[in-house]
Amino acid sequence: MDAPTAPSCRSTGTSVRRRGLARIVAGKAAYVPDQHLPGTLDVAFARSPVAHAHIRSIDIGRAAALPGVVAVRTMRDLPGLGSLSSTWEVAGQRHCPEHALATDRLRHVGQAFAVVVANDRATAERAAALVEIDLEPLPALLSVDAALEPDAPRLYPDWPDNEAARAEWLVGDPDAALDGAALVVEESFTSQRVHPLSLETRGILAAPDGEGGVTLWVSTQAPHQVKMAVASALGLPEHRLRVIVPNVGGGFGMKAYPHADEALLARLALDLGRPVRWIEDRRESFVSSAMGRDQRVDLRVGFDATGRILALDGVVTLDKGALIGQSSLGTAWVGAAFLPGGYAIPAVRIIARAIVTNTPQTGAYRGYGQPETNLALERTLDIAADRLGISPAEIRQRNFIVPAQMPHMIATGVTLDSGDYPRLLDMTLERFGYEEARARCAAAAASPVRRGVGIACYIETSNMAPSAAAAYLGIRAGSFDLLTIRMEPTGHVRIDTGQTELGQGISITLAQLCADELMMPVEDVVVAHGDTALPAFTSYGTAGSAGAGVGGAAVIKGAARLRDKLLLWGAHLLQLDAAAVELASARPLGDEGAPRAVVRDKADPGRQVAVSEIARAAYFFHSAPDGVDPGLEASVGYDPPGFAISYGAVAVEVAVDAETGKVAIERMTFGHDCGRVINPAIVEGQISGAVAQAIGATLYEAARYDEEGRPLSTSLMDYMLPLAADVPPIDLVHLETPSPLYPHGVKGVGESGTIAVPAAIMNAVQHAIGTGTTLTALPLSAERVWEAMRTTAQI
Amino acid sequence: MRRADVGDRLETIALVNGRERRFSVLPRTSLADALRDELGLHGVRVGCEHGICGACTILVDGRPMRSCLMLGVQADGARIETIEGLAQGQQLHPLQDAFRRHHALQCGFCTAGFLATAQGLLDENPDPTREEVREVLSGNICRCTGYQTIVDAIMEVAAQRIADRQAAAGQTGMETSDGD
Repeated sequence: MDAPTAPSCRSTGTSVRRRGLARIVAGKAAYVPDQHLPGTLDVAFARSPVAHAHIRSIDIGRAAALPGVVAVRTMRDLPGLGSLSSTWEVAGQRHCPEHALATDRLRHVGQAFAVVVANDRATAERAAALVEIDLEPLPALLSVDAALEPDAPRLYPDWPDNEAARAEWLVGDPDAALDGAALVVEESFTSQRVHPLSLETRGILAAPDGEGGVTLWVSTQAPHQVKMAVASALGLPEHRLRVIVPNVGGGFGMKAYPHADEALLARLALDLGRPVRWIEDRRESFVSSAMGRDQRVDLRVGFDATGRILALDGVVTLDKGALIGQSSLGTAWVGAAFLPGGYAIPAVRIIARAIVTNTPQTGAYRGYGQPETNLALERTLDIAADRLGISPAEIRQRNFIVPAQMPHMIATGVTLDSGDYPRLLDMTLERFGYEEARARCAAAAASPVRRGVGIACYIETSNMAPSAAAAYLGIRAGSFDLLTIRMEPTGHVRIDTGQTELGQGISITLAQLCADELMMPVEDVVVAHGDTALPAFTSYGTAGSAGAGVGGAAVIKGAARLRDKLLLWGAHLLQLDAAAVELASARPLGDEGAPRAVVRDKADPGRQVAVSEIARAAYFFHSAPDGVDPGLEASVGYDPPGFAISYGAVAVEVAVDAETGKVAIERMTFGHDCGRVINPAIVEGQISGAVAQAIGATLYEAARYDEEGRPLSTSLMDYMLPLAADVPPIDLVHLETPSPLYPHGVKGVGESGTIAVPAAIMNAVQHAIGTGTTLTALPLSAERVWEAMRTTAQI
Repeated sequence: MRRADVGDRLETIALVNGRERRFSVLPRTSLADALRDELGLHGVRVGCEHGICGACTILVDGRPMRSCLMLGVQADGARIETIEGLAQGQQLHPLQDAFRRHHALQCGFCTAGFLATAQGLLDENPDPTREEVREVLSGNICRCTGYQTIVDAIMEVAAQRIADRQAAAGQTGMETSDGD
């Protein structure tokens, strides 16, 4: 047993250990590549060598002739295989159906145009290299600037230009406010393209079920969305499909949406009558999975002489790559909507736009647009503070929305539900020793190792908007969770959830919430997940920092309904009125198998019946309360009432080697408020892991392409991820303001660590090197920092 | 030295997790693939197939090696230890137990590799500093944890081993003095 028995029944708020860790450390966990079905065939793709071309013809002859090859298919050989449409579709969005294989045009290096099925992977890969393609090259657009040129060729000939989607916000009169401002800061901030890079690549195993249907094992965060997309692309009724998610080796948003290749594998399994498997190759992953970030934020912000923000005018430009994809404008939309952050800004104009280019597609990555716009505003605040002669902390304090204003709708229409932003920043800076650290840095100004401190604050969207609001936003999915909670005849409880366990710890979190609600020890609750055959459904996948919020609130709703049934049954067995009984923990906690919770007479607590006895009675159903169904089960749906907004403040100290420009993170204090904390160890794990990813995206990582659009990073040798020596211990400061919108007060935390770390580090590096050259672009490679120092020194 | 065509499978004999195992592999097959596909040792994880991520790290003759950078045939005559051989029956190895207790993993895909690296580290340097642990672990990539809990787990095992040894030495000393 993983978890020690808690002395009291209350498990929320404690770091109950996750289940299944013993299996993982013993090497027994099974991921998609570990699923073995007899007769499985391996799949490999033939991929485009060029960034943009018409396809004249494809010759599969040599590939098909290779011994061991079972099938070679192009889109032409797969009549009836449909495409995927976007999950996000904002008003006026252009259309580009997402096909598994190119039809008439290649739009990025690495785009698949043929698929090979063979007896083994090596043969499949060898055959894929033998598929011949005759191309008519087209000019490649490799940047948004090139794609936005008035006479630029169009990636999609039926579009008027290369803009895929756009959204705008206008509140007040930002032009007038900027004209009257004492200071206007105008800069262009860029967050480079990065690879979400889960250590386990994407993987799919599809097997015919012998009755016209298919079972898929997919490394995904969104099994129900995969099932819907595959059913739609294949024209199969959904009850013929089952999607199983075994252990998942990380997702980080990259696995949050369905992919056209999932439908293709299902189709191949049906056509060939055998299981087929595709395990994405690491090199391939740089072109076959959606990359993250790649946004530019052009920002003008006006301040009065005291540092108060008067107006904000911004354009968020997202390089979508060659495909609108599932997330469409999503990351730019969310970045724009959350651009004002936790600050009172009376006038805003923000445009979010997604531009297509001849590069692999970008999509969801942990943070989902928020780190990009956070960088822009939090850097702007530091620049303004410097020019106005006030401290970075002070300019933020002067602009914060304060608790008395909560709940507060910011200019973009997002409602901040609760929190104390000024206090959390104060707490963070005090723990960090902000003033002393700044003094220490000043003393190191001319030394070979410069020192700097930087701060940045963030808000984080979590828990999803209500389904009706999702429709308004253009999301072609709901936001809700359906689940089933069943008390088994022994009195033990099983939750069937649609949320996906990715190692983040959602299943123990749900078990803890349920256990407390039913006054049972958490050991008595198991959580089943990762299978669309379960009586559960998560409408947006496990993403958007919504698992504990929406999935957890659904558990509470279901557990409350189950509790009502227990009370009815308990009253019946005790021959009392339902209003006269209550649920209570059994005391003392019994031995294994003994009653763990009881229903008792409120007036005479000694008069009680164990839930295990109630459960047995409910499953015998020999004598039952009036109007009650047999069994003890509750199936409920929970639609979120609104976004819960987590927030926090980051303080970081960096050392910059004056000779090389190399940046080292010396220490970091991370203050955060994600509402009520169910499991502290899991919350800390989410923040620490996300911070490490943010350090990588700030200092090292960059997915670049050469002048022909060929990726320059195709391995971990040229795509540098943060390592143990790069990530300092994170000092966490907790503040807990429960969200008033949710029964358990939970706000999400999964993306918190990614949002403000880039801005905090850039502010710290700027502080270290002085203000001559304004830093605005990521990553802060040694080369870029060295260059900035050199030009600063010349000024 | 045996010679073979690329299409020939070669018989390989190795001591794997304490048992002599025979398997036949193509000359080009990586040791990682051989262990996974021929011996069913799926605890060997393949994360990059080019020797950087460290997920496939195993012990070869007691030293941490990237099994994706070795050929299956190179295992001939070697002593191989994978994560499957680390626990004694149901009894987890102290490193496994420490990883579990310290939340030193989330998705778990990197864990086997970190455990092998940690074994090699503690064999070579029984009393490492935190900085030394971070340095050695920098040959393995974890995308979930931020590494601190992994370092915590390894430091705890190192400290426990030292305490155990000191206790054992103290014990021996007592017996000696008793005997005097």
